Amino acid sequence: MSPDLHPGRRRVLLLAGAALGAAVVVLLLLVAVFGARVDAPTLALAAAGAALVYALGQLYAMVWALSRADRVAQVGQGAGSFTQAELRDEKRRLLRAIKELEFDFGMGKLSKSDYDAVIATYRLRAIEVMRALEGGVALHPELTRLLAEREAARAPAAAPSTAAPDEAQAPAVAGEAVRGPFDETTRICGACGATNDADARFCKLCGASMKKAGPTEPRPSQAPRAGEIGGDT
Amino acid sequence: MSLALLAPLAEAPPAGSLSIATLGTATILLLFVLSLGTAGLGVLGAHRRSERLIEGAVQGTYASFGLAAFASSLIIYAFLAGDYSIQYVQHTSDAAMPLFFKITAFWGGLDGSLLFWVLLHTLFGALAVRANRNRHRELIPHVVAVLATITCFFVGLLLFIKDPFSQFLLDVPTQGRGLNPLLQNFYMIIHPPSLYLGYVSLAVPYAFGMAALLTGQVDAAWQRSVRRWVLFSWMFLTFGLILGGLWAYEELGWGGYWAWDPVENAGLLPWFTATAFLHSVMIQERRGMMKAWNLILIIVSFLLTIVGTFMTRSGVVQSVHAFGSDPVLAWTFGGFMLLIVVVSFGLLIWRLPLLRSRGELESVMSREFAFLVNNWLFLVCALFVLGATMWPTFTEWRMILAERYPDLLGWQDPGERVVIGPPFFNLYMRPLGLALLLLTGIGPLLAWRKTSTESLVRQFAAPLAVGAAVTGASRGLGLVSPWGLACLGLCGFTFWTIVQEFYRGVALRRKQRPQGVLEALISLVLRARRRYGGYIVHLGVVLMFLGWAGNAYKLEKKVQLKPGEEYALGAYVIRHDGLRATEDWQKEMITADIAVLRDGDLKDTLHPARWWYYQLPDQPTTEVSRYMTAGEDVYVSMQEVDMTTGWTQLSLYINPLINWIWIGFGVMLAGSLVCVGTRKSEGAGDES
Repeated sequence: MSPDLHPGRRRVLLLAGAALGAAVVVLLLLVAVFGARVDAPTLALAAAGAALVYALGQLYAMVWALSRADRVAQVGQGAGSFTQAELRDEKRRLLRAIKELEFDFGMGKLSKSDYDAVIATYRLRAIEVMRALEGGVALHPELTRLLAEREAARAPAAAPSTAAPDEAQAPAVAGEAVRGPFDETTRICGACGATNDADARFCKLCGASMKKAGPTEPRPSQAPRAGEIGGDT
Repeated sequence: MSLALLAPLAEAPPAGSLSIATLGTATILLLFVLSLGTAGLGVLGAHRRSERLIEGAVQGTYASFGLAAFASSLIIYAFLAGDYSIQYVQHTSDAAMPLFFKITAFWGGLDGSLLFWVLLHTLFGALAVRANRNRHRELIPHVVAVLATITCFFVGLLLFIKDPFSQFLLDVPTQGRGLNPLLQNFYMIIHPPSLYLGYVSLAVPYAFGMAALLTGQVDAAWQRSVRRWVLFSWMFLTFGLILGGLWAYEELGWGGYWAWDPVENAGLLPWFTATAFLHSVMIQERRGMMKAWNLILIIVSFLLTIVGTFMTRSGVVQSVHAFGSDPVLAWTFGGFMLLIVVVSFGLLIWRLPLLRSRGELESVMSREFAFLVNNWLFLVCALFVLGATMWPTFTEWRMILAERYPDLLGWQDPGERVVIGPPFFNLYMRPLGLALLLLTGIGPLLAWRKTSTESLVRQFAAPLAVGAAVTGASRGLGLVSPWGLACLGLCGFTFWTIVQEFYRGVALRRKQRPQGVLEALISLVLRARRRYGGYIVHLGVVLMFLGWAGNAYKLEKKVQLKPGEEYALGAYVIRHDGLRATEDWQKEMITADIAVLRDGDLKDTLHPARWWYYQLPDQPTTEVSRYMTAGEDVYVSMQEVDMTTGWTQLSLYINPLINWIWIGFGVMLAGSLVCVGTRKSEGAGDES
């Protein structure tokens, strides 16, 4: 959830908390001062009251969310961090898979030739992922922030101008740096500007072919998507 | 958009005095409008890529849960306070019921159970959205829209057809009618909610699957958030089914636990497909195959939960615990199911080009193929049970049609409503179950891609020997039933494959580093939770099959005994020691004292009874009593009793190995808890 929503949520939580607290105090007062007997129906009614407070609070949060200024939904990666997380995930997954495979081999479930063939591809992928990870990290934090802002400001309408980058590798020029952090794992759709996975053939948002729009030259670090480790093993 | 709709509704109090009933109905109305609005916001937000609308939809999901919780607590309050102006409360409770049963009467009838459904559905929806909204931002608006649409349907049912808050317009009764005494039982309190949890939580994977299809992100991402949900649903379904079995065993008094009752079958159907999914999702993870198939399984699982609800609640099938017939509800559910089928499979066909698999099956001797066969078998099971459960209803429909249109259909003999009994189910499910057990043994020993001949020999020699030895030993003990022998042999085979897996794993681990056996075992299980958790589940399956094998050697007798008389049952002697009549504020009870002797030793005294509730004097309940050992149960239930002469008609059973079913279930549960694991280890790619 974006950080600028927090004041609204806090207010809701505060309100709900205050109401609940007041209810508990009233209940305790009733018991202590007036000697009221708290039986099951009373408690059920109190629970109903709490549920009502929660429901109204959430309705308020909904209205509050709707009354705010609109922003373009960050569909997909939020400024590089998501891809980084996914790469780390992928790395862990690959290392696990290699270990697992060694284990299977040790238990005698694989022949030597099968084992060699499969483990070679895994190792290659792990190296690629690690290289991609380092490449991403190497960006200066200030530059990453700048890129994040640009990404957020870029309306979908403005997409065609910044999208369709070609295969330049160095993110030296500011104009090209737009896709800097995604360089290793993402491509931008030429038709709508959505970010897609590096190996996408069609845009996930508009369905346009990614053949022409994205970089054409194969990258050295075409990281596989997470969860597809076993793809061609 | 929805704001304009919501505002007047929120502040419009129903005319007249504000009772709990009107407040409840108003809440349900508000919930209906809210979920409509949430679905609309989700769709619109995804279409316009508007953060504002998406955020509104997400908050709307949470608010739906709040409203559902409010409505549910209102009806619980009505139960506790004894508000008999509400029809539902009057029908399912009375003032004399214990507090606990008053609360659980909430889901004791049709209307309340639908509200309970809505409560759970909105809870799961809110949890799923909260857990995944940052991880899968692009899926969330679609997920919200799908979930809200489902909420909308069920709330619509409450609102237009089955309002749990509907009141008596004239002659408000002052007393409740009371809950069916059969349902006032501990298992019955947990059994339906547990099945419900399983049922309802399957809507979440479905919503994610649909979102994946809508966005075109059909790769592994959606499944990672879904796999644990399915595991949870599976656990709850299993738990519910077993509790249903226990209830039947302890409460109905016919000596068995599963009679293919349509309502129990309804719980079994999604269990089959969910189990199939849990297996086939591994193939997709490892080999990138069967993407479309996995989506189909998710869709079918969800569809089967709706079918199950439909079967239970519309009265299309006859069952001990269906809720009674209701054609309007039947047609509504029919329409909803049709909608699901058309939309889901339409989307699937539309996205088929994206779902092409990247790997290929290379050999029949591979784990992929074992999984594939396992999936087919599970699907066949599901289709068979569905068909056999629905067949009597189809024959009935044919009769009705033939009556209504004699010109068109008069040429054929409409026949009668066919009754399909347990023997028919058993005839087909027995070989299917044994085939699945065989696969449970074979699958884990095969390697991915292909298994070499020498490896085959090394893997299977010992388990096969054990299986043969177990069969031989059982035969030697004088067991003759071929099915029982086959089942015992397969249990031995599968059991040994699991032992072997653990043994080899531990041995390898100890070779790699110096560790004690126990330490190696624990770290082995913790390191690859999903693999070894799965093996533990398989172990539970083996134990359950062992329990089922006992079924082939069950002993059953109906006898008339007077106090003081004895009867020889197998190796035991049953002695009637007398009758007692007692009563409490709720019921009259007649209890027999039955001594169980073996070789002259008194093993236990059993107390089977019959209870007559004052509320429903014509429906006496049978209270079973049993003497439990690891090897068998001596199970006694009282059928009829004459207090003047002391003649007591008893049903006596010896159920060999039956307790292994419950033990096996415990093992299964433990295994699945290992699989679920902690969040940290999730996604760590520990493979199967």
